[in-house]
Amino acid sequence: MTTTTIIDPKATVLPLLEGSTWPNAAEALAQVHTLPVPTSKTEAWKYTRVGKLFNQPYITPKGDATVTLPARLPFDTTRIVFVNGHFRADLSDDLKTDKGIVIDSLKHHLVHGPVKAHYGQVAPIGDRLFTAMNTAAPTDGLIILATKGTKTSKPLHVLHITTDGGQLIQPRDLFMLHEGAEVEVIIEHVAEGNASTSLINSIRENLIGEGANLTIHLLQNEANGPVHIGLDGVTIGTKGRFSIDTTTLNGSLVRNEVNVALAGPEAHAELNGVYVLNGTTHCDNHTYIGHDVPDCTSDELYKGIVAEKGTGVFNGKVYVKQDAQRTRAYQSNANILQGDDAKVYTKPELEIYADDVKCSHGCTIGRLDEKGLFYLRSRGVSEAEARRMLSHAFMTQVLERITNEEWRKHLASLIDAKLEAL
Amino acid sequence: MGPNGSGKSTLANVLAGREEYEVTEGTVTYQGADLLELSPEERAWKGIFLAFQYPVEIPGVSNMNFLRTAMNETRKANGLAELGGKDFLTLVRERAKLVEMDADLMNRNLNVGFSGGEKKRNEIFQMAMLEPKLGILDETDSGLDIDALRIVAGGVNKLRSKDNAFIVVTHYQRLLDYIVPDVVHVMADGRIIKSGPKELALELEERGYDWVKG
Repeated sequence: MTTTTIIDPKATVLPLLEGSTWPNAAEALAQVHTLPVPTSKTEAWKYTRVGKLFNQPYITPKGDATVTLPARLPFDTTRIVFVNGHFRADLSDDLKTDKGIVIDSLKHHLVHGPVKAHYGQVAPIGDRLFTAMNTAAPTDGLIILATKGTKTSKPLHVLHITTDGGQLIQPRDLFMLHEGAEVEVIIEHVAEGNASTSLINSIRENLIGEGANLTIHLLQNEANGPVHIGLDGVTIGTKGRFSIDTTTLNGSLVRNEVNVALAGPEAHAELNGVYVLNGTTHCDNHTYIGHDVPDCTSDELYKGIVAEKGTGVFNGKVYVKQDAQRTRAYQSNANILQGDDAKVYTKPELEIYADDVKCSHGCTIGRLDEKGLFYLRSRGVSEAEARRMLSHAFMTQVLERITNEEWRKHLASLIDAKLEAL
Repeated sequence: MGPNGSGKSTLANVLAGREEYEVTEGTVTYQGADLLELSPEERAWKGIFLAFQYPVEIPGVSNMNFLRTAMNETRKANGLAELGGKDFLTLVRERAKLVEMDADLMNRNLNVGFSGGEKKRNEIFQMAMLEPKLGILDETDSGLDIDALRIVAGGVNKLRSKDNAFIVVTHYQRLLDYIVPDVVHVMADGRIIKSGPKELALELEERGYDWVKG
């Protein structure tokens, strides 16, 4: 007689998730036990395999690691440093300069009323294993609480440094903007040494009040960087505005999920993405925009170049409820494939139940324009340079949407350097 | 000159190195070298310039940036120092006058949103900047009104010297009122079937291509 023992693949992460005192942790841990690991049969994860992430043991993140801070951005920011997911006041700037805006470690504020009331509301667990894992034991994260009418005097620059492999790091942010507040945040991940076997499973909850405006710039440019599984949950109130631009230039496996609820009339969401993928980098941009009420607008533009053995995935869904009349929703994903081994999977989706709407979606996968290439070369531009010029130009349309000119220039130079290396 | 489909544009594109065309027979010798061995950019560096019949629109690449890259790569290939920003701009201003190009067009994306006439002017402007030894104008007159035609032809005339040559592909005698050719070649079915002095163009206009095809 034989007995079969079924080993839960999550056994590698479960020990690290026990004993957390964060809100909802115990319930979340129970969910981790029951929720399955997504497979290629799970529609939302069809092209991004995560099973292998559970094949290795993990350790708790090292918060006190010694790090070398990279050079500052070429423009003025308030820098906030996290090392392996832990907030490091000793490495961060003075965070108390903007009156009426709380910027701090989220861990320090869990017992405060507004946090208690909203934590876990924007990114509920549902059937999401990674959300359950994060909620069961967040490492730490950033709270931004901007009171009515306040504005960040300069962009916040959140720098996440990962120092070693094998860590399970679970950042958990909560951004709350009250009426008319304006906040701009740059989030950058940097790896020191080889962090490729670490897993960063992050959740950010963004709650945007009436007429408030949140801009997030996300940069993923790490050689030997960790795996990223990230979720931005966003709820936008009346006339509120949310804008995110995600730039992925390096990494191993990167999943960026943005889940937006347009919850008040005339709310607006703008999602932009740029990616240049080579080596074996796999980048999956997964978006959901819920038009829940009338008169809201959303606009998504993701463009990228996939070369060598890189993989680009885009899955965008726009859902327009029956009541959401006069919705305007645009979505576009365009890709350039270079080489025989590069892969792109793209799936735009529209689901519309209202009858007075303007929606469009589209996706393209192609090559660099041969006519353009010949035109440039016939003028004396070398083939390599002509390819770079056209590649950069392909993504310019996305960069032009980024309103922070200094950030846009910074990205443009990073993209140029990346294209140079292709 | 030559009727539709006679191979004029094909010849122009083959000379510039368009890769869609495969040359199966014959040779092209340019300044003693085998032209067909060279990539399009190498031909440009050696002084060949094709003014396109349909200039390509390239969003996201600025006219000026592109031109500066093209000029400096050409200079580098010819052992010359790169042109600094100030010298480049001085040259731009000087050459733009030749074709009455608007300064505004310089800073726009390459040919994007240009009218037909503006595109052709931009071709001649680029030619004026790059100073080719052999300029090939592929139906540069098509789609031009009479004023634009005069400006474009004027630009070409100012560039003519004893050190360069132009191949002007056209259907019409009209252009040749402004750019007076030294020799007229007539192409049909991929071959030059008749050559003669500038008067040949007038005679063609009067009698049609059937006359030379016989």
